Amino acid sequence: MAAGKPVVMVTLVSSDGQSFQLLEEAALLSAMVRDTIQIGQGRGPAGIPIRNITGQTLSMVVVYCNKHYTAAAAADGDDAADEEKKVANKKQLREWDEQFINLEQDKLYDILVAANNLGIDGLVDLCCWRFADMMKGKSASEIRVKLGIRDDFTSEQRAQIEKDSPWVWSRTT
Amino acid sequence: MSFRSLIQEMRDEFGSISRHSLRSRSHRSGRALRVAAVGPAEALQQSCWAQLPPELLREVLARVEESEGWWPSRRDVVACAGVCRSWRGITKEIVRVPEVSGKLTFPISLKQPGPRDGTLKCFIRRNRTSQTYYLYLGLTEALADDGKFLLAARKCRKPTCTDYLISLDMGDMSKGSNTYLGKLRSNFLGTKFTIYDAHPPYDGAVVSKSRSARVIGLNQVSPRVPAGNYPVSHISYELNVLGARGPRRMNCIMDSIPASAVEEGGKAPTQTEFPLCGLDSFPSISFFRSKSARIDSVASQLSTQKEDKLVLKNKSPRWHEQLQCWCLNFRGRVTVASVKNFQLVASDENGPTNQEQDKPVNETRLLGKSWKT
Repeated sequence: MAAGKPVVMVTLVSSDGQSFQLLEEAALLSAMVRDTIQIGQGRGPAGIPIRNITGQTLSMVVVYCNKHYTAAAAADGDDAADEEKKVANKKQLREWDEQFINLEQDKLYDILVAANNLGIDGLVDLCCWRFADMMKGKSASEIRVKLGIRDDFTSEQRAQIEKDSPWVWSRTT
Repeated sequence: MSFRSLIQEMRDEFGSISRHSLRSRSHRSGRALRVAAVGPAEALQQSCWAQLPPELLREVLARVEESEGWWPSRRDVVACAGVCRSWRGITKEIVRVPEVSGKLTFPISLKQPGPRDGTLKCFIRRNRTSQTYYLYLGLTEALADDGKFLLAARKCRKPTCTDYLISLDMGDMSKGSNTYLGKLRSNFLGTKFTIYDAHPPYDGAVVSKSRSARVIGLNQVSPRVPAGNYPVSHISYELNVLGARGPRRMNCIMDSIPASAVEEGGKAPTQTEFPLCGLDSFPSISFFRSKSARIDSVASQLSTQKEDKLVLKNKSPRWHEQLQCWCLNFRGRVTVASVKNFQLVASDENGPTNQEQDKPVNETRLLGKSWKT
């Protein structure tokens, strides 16, 4: 980022009225914020109202945006930096991501939906990977219980699944 | 959420007094309609995850599919398809046929065309005492890994022929089982074989029946209705003029695959779901010779294909002057020299080799590049 550029802040206001100030460039990670600013809104003191997202969730999202913005700015800043350092920085960011997203499932859900609504692709991706990780090594009924999803199969589908299951779960002898 | 707030929320939803109080969490707002439809007892079990927008669910399931490429962890993909209807629908869409992906996922993959480039390496384990055969998918390059179980077959001797009943379940190889797939019938001498599919081999025909069959299907509780017999392949296995010591000749006529399937851009018939015997019972041709239009459509499809059926032949070995033996390159897949080792290729010699993988349907004894005894 070029030095001397004026620092522009935007304010995001959660559904329960909490407001969060962050650098406009960090907030631009969100496609929704980008669109709002492009049509010339959201820079005022009232900020950008984010419906459907609570302060608790939005605060996490803001942390993510700030981290990724600073990481990207740092990477841009020292373009002379050698490859090794870049790789190390990337690895560091990935580790940070992993730690950041290591959440219980309800929080993960909130963040996933929030990131989707805000259009933050990187965060959606991160949440989806984490969610996919949670599914690993579990049977269908374990997933249903864990996520509280109801089995709504027709008897026909259930018969199909039962037919498949000995094949799928057979252990090698 | 406290019990009181739950009651409050239910009251709101059923009484339609107000959609939601300010306290309720934002993402639950889409829930009201659905809850009213399923009733309070079940509604309480449903969590926010059940309402995950389909586009996000698809993203998640695509990642599960992508990361679990190979067995045994590939079963996670199947588990996801068994969670609920929407999960199943999306997973089924994401998982591509082995022809494209080179991966086996659901058992139906076994009846779908195999990958065109490259092969799926399989091996058969035989249990002499129980007269059973188990087909495995090799999971590593090593010839002797544990493998992923694919199919089981049991030998049944009869006065005039021998049947090999083929099943998806290694514990249940009876004909009445709903994991029964078909059989390989050998003549008394073991020179002519016919492969029968328990289900009609055409997807189109299978789909067309289900609507009308379902009405009666609900009353047919037992899933153990005996399956049909649809011949899908004829194999002749002959000694040649040199007798038992010379190379043998094998000729497979694949009734259900058109010859064009092995050409560039050709298509082999691809089923997407096993038809269910009991609930969805599709009367086999041999049981009901009725005038049903549905059956006629199968029959006519079968007959139209007759002209250009795919024919596979075993690749003839060369006589090696120096070694004084018949030689054939198995690319390291054969450890013991035997006249019983074979490779099948499309009879049109221009075609790519090792076509035996093109449709791994029921060909227990054909599948895999080599078959060792």
